[in-house]
Amino acid sequence: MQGLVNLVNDLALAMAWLLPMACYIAAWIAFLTGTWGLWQQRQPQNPFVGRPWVPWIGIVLSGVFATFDRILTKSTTSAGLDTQVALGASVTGYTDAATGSVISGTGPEDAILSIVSNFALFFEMFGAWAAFMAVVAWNASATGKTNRSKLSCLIQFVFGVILLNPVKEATWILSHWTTSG
Amino acid sequence: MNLSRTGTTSAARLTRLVTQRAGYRQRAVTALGTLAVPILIASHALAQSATGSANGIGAQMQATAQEGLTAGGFVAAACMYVAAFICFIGGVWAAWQSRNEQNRSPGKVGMAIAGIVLCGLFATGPQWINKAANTASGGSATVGTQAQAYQFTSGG
Repeated sequence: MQGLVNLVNDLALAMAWLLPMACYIAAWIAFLTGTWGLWQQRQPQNPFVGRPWVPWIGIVLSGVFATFDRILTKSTTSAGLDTQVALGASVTGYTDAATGSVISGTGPEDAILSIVSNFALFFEMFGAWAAFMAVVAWNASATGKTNRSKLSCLIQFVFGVILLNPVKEATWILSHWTTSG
Repeated sequence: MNLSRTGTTSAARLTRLVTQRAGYRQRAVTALGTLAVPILIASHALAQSATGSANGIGAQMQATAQEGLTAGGFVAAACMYVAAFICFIGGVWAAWQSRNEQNRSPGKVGMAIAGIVLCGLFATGPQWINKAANTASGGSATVGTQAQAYQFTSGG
C-alpha cells in the first residue's frame, strides 16, 4: 500500500509538471489557428462560412489555456469546492494525512478519508487533465475536427472539476453513513 | 493451429471454457485472500509518512517539461514569424491586385487590410495571448517558458 501511494503520487507529480507545458503549447496553437482562421476567412476557400465566430473562439481559448490554473480555481469556486489552484516552480511533495495507522481512528470513516487523502493529489491532477482535455476537445469540436458534441465536452469538464477536491466530497458522502449519530 | 480440436462439439467446448473460468475465479479469490491476510494483520503498512521523492518520476518530469517548453517556445516563435510573413506578403499582394484593372474587387481590399493587421497580430503573438488571458480569466497569463507544477490548496 505504501509503495502504491508513493507510485501514484509520483505519477501525479509528473502530471503536475506536464500540464503547464501542455497548456503553454495549447495556448499558442489555439492562438495561431484562431488568427490563421481570421486570415482564412478572407480567402476564397474560407472553411468557416456561416460560422465567423469560430476563429475568435480559438483566440479566447488561448487565454483560457494560458491561465488554466486560474480558470480551474474559478470553476471550483463556482462548484463550491473552494480549491485554490496555483503554479509553483518547485517540486511539490505530498503530505500524508494519517500520522499513524489509517486503520485506527474512531471508525471506518477515518480510514476511508485517510486513504482518499493519500491519493488526493492524483485525483486532483487527473481532474485537471480531464478538464484540460475537455477544453481541447471543445475547441476541436467548434472547428469541426471532431464530431464530439459540445455537451459531452462540458460534462467532461464538470467531472474534471468535481475531482479537484476529493477529500471534501468524500467527507460529504461519508456524512450519510456516520457512526456518531 | 491445432486441428485436433476442430471435431469437438460447440457445447462440449463451451462447458470446458466455463469450467476453466470458474477454476480461474476460485484461484484468484484464494490468491487475493492470501494477499489480504498480511495487510489485515500488519495494518501499519498502510501508507504512513509518505513523502515525494526528489529523484522520482515526478521530479524527472520537471526536466522533461522544461525541454518541452523550450522547444515549444522556439516552434511557436518560428510559426508566428512565418505566419506574420505570409500575412504581410499576402496582404500587400492583395492590395496591389485590388488596384489592377482586371482584378479590382472589394474582397481584395478587405484581404489586404486583414493581411496587414494580422501580420501585426502574429508579430506580437505573446502580448495578444496575454490580452486573451485577461479577457478569459481577469488576469495575466500564468504559463511561460519556465517549467512549473500544479499545486492545490483545499479550502476545506
